[in-house]
Amino acid sequence: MPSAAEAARLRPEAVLSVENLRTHFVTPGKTVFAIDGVSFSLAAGERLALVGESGSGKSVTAKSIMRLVREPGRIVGGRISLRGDDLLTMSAAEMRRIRGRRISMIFQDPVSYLDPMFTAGHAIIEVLRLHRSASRAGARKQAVSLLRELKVPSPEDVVDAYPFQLSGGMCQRVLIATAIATDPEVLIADEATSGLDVTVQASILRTLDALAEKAGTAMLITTHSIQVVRQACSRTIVMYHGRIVEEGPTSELLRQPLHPYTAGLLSCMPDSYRRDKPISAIAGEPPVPGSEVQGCAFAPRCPIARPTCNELRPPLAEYAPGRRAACPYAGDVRVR
Amino acid sequence: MSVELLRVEHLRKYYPLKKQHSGGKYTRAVEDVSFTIQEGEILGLVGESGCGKTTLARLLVGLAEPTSGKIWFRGTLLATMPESGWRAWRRDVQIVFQDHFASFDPRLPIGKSIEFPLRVHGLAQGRALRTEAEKLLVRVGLNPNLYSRLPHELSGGQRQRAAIARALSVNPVLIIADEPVAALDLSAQAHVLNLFTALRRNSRVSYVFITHDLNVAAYLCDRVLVMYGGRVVETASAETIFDTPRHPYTRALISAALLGRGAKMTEQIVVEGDPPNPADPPPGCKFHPRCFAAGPLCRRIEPSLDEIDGSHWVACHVAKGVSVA
Repeated sequence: MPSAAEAARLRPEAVLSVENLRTHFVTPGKTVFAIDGVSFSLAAGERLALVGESGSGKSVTAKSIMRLVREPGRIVGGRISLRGDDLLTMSAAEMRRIRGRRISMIFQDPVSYLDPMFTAGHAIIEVLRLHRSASRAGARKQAVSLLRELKVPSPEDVVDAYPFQLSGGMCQRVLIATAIATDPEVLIADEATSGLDVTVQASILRTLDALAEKAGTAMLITTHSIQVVRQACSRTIVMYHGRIVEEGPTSELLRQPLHPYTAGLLSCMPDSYRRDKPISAIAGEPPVPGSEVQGCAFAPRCPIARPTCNELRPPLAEYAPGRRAACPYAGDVRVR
Repeated sequence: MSVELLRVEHLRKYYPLKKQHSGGKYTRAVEDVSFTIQEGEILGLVGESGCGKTTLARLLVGLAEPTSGKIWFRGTLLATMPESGWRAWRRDVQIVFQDHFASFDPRLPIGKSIEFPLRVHGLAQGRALRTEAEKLLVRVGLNPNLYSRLPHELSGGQRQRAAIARALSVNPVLIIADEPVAALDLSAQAHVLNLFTALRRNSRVSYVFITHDLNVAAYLCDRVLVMYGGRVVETASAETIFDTPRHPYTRALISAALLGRGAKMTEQIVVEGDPPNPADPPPGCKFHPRCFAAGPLCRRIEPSLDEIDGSHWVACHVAKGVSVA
């Protein structure tokens, strides 16, 4: 199995590489292993999905890359490099020059990320003045053209509107404008379309799509939605209990999942053509997030688990070019 | 022969806006909605935020009073129902909310919350309360020893199942479920949907199932009402809605839902823009600013909801074959 570093060497265009990342939340008497050994790389213009359910560690992964994990959370190990620059050894001041300039991030609940006391345009103008030393008038002009590019109707008015006057979808477009104002190398979208209506979600994902195509921005999209993965992402990583359980090109992974968890997740999609049959739900409940598990974390719910699964943690191994899975019996479970 | 349980006619709900800003205007949350629910039927209400589906749910359970329109429950007009009828009605009609955490008193064990309606309606007392609550937990697929757990000790899916157990405790005939799976992970959603299907098989309870996800509606519901801007824009059986949607908005919703099932990207219908502001809706058809098929007529005249095929109703000039040029 090639390590992430080798993979990065094999694919010289890798913009971001994450290697054996471990982020734990340490409180007296208890350690939560939120992320325990996550490795992947992201190429220019690629749209990579990190998919998983709540507590799987996808958001902590995204925040770790930005070094935005709050106490008592701590990155206890691993390497994150942005075109060779090691983000984890940087000083706080150096890191501030990375955030918003070379890596940008957008979040769920866009309305709460805009300051209610300032106009939407102010947010974009501030970024341009800080990172691009633009003049006030120049920044404003650029803000309008950014919004126009994002298909915001009457951008001149939106620039002067306050967040409460805008819909959630519009606020998210404003935040995307702030995120891409500096032409970042990497854009992280952390459940960025989750609170939005499906039709608005579809249109925003299409915008991101065009952006990756045109500017070559590498995108890391965390989501719990299969629809988002299918529409927006070329490659997919499935996370469970703080680890990667499967990785592969989106279309192949969804058509023919290797890991029993991925297969189980896809079987959970309600299908109107099988109305008479119950949904084949994954048995049991997910483990307590971050709890220590000796073997495979999915074993207690897995339909094909064997006794050894509870003892040995399966490594993420390559099964086909570009397809990795952390299961010795990968491919043995079909969807439904 | 199916028996009509609920009949809603020309239901409207307007909320007044503050006078100094609007000059006495209204937010038209629900505008002229009519439908019926048969005994044992699951009716899906599908739409996006601001389309009026939650207001409609609140009207149906009596948490809001209609501005105009009529609701009949088993042939009795609610507006003229004597006070004595309300107590029984409040037992017969139950609601399950989206936010399964806010639905429970955080300091009360789950079991105590479940037996509360039984106590209020005098259906059980003393030791029988706990036995009943444990039976209900089993009925929704939970371990009866969750009785003494506090809400935060349960997972989201377990809490939502407990909320359903509480709604079932008083043997209702109609349950209004307002986005009961929207806040759940996919695997927990599957368990809750299976529970709804099992409950339908084993009892004659009717459901109004509110969701923004047409995939869920098509799987679970018998009939679907698609709402947009406070109005019903299309209604038909779940199969018909999914296989031959006629309203452009329904088609966009289905295209988003189908993505989860492996439809090709090229087939996707993406509509731009945002749903209308109910306080300031566009003239004519409420969907025309986002519609790919709209013409000048759509901007002027609001289409009425008409039957185009047996039991398939749609409010769209284009779908009805009217020239919109």
